[in-house]
Amino acid sequence: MILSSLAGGPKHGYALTKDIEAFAAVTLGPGTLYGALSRLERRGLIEALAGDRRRRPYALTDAGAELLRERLAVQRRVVDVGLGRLAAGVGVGVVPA
Amino acid sequence: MTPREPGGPLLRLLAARGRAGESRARRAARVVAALLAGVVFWTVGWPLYLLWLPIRHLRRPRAERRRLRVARLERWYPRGWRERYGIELRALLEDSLADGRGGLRMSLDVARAGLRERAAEPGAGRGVLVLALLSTWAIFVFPPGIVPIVFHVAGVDVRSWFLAAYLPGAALWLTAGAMIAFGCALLASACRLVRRA
Repeated sequence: MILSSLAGGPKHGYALTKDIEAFAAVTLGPGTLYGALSRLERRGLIEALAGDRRRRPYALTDAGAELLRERLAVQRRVVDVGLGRLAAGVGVGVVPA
Repeated sequence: MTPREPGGPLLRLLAARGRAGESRARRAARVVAALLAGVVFWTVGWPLYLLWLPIRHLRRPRAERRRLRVARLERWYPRGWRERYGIELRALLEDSLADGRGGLRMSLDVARAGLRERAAEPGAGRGVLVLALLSTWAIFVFPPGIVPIVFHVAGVDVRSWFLAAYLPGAALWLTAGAMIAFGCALLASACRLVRRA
């Protein structure tokens, strides 16, 4: 979710929280958010940009963008398969109520 | 050799700090007052102080309370982490509090994340955490968990301070089971930390 949010441009912690809330309806607590940001930064998937130290913006690195692309492609396949099967009615109503 | 001053050991001890020219009666009165003050403190004083703490907290201006809370929350994290992310986390906490999201949920979230960072940090922080976990897990497993179950099964009528022993039937098993599970979870956390080290 953080990588998806940063794909829209650099953001600081509070802006990330607001953005994720808007597109995923998930509220990340400050501890969870900064725990994830520090891990992603250590793995080189995001980087801190120069600027206001209190509200330092983070941006996606090339490695982060690549990983996001791979993950989203997998998720898209899962969504497509699930929706396709639901549309075909496969497995619906197999288990008696 | 200096002449020994008359009086009991307590009076002699106080005399060493007594004011020059102070009479024995006055010194004795000071000892009695000190003893009375001690009795008052240990019987009434500290419970009143504990009651006063939240009142004092509420009497502080809102901005001051917010600043204190943010500082306390930040202290869950290890020093190294705070040096890198502390300022940003403080800004986010202040924004969240100003936004009305500063409930218990936020505090628990920060505490959990802070402890996780401490556990992940190599060195003293992790060692202290492992030591704390290894020294507390048995306190939950044995006295409030296994002992009441053994007593119940063996028909021993001793309740002592074992919470579960005061509960009837299923509640006893549930409480004791929960205590054992909690203690085992602490032990498992310690083992996981040691394995990761």
